[in-house]
Amino acid sequence: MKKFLAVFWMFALVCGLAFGKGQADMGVPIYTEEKPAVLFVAKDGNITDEPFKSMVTAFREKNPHAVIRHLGIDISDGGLSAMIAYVAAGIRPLYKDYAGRVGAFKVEEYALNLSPYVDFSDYYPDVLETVTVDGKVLAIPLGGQYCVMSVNTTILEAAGFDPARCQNWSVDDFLEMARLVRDNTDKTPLAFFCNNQSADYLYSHVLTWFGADMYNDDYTESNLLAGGAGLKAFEMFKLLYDEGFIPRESAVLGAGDYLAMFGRGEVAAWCGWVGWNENFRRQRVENEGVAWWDFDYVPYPKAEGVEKAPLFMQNHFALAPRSDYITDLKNDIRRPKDAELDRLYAELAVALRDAEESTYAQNSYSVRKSLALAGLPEGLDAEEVARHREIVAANGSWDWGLSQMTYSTIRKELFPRLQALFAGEETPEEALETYVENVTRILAEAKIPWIEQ
Amino acid sequence: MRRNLLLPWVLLAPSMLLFAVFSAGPIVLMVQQSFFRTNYILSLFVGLKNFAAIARDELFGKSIVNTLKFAAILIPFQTLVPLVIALVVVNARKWLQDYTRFAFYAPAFASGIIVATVWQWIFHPTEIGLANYLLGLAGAEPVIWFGRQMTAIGAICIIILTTYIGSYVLIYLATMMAISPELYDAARVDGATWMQVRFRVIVPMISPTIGLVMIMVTISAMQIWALVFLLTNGGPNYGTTTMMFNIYEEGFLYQRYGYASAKSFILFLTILALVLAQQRFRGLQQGFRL
Repeated sequence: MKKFLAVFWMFALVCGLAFGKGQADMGVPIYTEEKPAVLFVAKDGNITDEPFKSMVTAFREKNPHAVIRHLGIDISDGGLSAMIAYVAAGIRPLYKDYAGRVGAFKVEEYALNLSPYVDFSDYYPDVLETVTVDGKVLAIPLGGQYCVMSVNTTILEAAGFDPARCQNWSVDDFLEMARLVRDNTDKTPLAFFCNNQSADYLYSHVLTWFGADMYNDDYTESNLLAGGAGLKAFEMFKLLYDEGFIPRESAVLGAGDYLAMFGRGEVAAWCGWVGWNENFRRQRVENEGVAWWDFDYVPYPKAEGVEKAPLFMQNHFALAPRSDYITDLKNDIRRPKDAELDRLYAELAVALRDAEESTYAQNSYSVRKSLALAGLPEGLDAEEVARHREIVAANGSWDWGLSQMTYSTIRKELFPRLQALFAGEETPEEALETYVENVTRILAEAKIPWIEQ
Repeated sequence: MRRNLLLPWVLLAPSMLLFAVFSAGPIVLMVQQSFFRTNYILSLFVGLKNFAAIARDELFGKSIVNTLKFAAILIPFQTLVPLVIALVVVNARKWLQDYTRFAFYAPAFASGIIVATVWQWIFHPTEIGLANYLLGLAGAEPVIWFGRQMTAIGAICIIILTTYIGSYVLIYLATMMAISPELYDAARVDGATWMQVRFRVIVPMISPTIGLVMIMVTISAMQIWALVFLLTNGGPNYGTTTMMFNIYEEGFLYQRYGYASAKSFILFLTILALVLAQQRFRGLQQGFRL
């Protein structure tokens, strides 16, 4: 037996070392000089909608020699894995997605500097800044949306809390509302579910109530320990749980659970994207003939001394790969620059921008000065969007690091801390310290995800 | 003569081919990849750096401890509970033996996802869940089963025990049925009681099978993944993150295939060491008896 094992391991080691893949194994390019192919990757819906089709048609008329392949991918977190797999395979896709995923590719080694191809003067400077690295614009911002708090006014009235007070409320006001809802109704004061990172918009906003900064200026470390705001937020997480202001099952429930609760009108306050409330109410009417609850959009509560509670936001952008991105680690050999392919990718990204009006209209803020809020799609309430914009204008957006390449990894760090906090395994101080330590470590180890260096 | 020599190899060839492709091959590949950083397209030889990184990986350390917690619960229970069941029904009427086989093995027919879905309902954190409903009848507060490490590990162990115990009952029963009836008769003639027949005759006779079951249980306990993936996602606070789950995350979530292979290699060696230790322990035991 021992002899067999020894022979087996020697054989395995020799095989491994002899047949290990080295630099010679590189991805096969999917284009030729004669007929460049452009791969466009986006979530499913964007592939089949009219603006995309018209964009592709216009692009094809201008570039009859180019071949477009398009691919719809799942919008869940698996999307990042799929994107990395394409890059690993030597395929260069043009991405259109939200920043949390595409941000991982917003690096000079991969993304094409779009400045020579696009006139960015029409873009709002602060929006452009999120996609600029060392003076190079590495992506085209396409619009985005904010996560505004909404309150179920029917529940608030039943609990004895005047909904009008929410329009400019303090953290103390919020806690008073929560106590009244808990004591006077059978509803839940605040929606809060953290069994994974997917619903981080449901709880991360608490950090902004106290004016906490997520990062330092150059994104090298988390700033949450500075000034005590982060600790106050973590103490609030604990208080919300201990007082029963959030579901006691918060640590183990996820999307399937909270969506059902919203639909049934069982939570007094929650944070979500524009249009969701109306959809829930509409479904209620379709299913049961009546939506018994009403709602209003409100800003986040503010702690004493905090003037603005900036909003959790999400933006989308298009990112084009450069033709000479690193394909080999060992000798740092780069592919020869292919100006024609770069031009095609840049042009497609620009065409995408021009076709983005529908995406823009579904969201609550503009990235370009020349775009106006007109022609909202059917089902979207103009008043609702206007109310969102009002709250956004008064509070601004919170820098959650969405456009940073490490965001997808960082967002997986908060929910375990909350689980530990709720289980009594960590104090707010310990949970915060661990969180900050982990975030700072991830920032320090930031690297191109598909090439381990 | 020559034909006779070739025939065994010809007959063995299909299964050897399958073993080479689906078992030995992946093991060799795993060992090879553990010395590389790779995404399967580009690879870089890094020597022992992956192993050095594992030594600093706190989460992997936690996953080893969690896996050992699972193993500490599952190995004795999954070995002994089916043994007791088999001992109870071994000389019972045939219909009772058949019923026992079916009843304990039936859950294993269901796929992991169906099992997980059913138990998700049973362990639902509110009174909707059967477990909390029963607790409520007894006047107890509902328990958030997957909200704390202790209850989450306990719940997953209960699921594994109830679902996969049937296979071991079958193995034990099959071995017990192979014992010559004359031995039972002889024991009874000598005045052995029901208990004495079981613990003085049957258990010693099937001790190699008990050892085999122990090895099978050890291997499966070290490889818990599906239920963790489906029920707890490794939480709360990584409290149910097992070595397999951690390896899955490294490989398929973060695309660190070389690093995941190195961890798999360590898991492989851990299982091998445990199995060899068990065998040695059993060898010592037998030697002591002799």
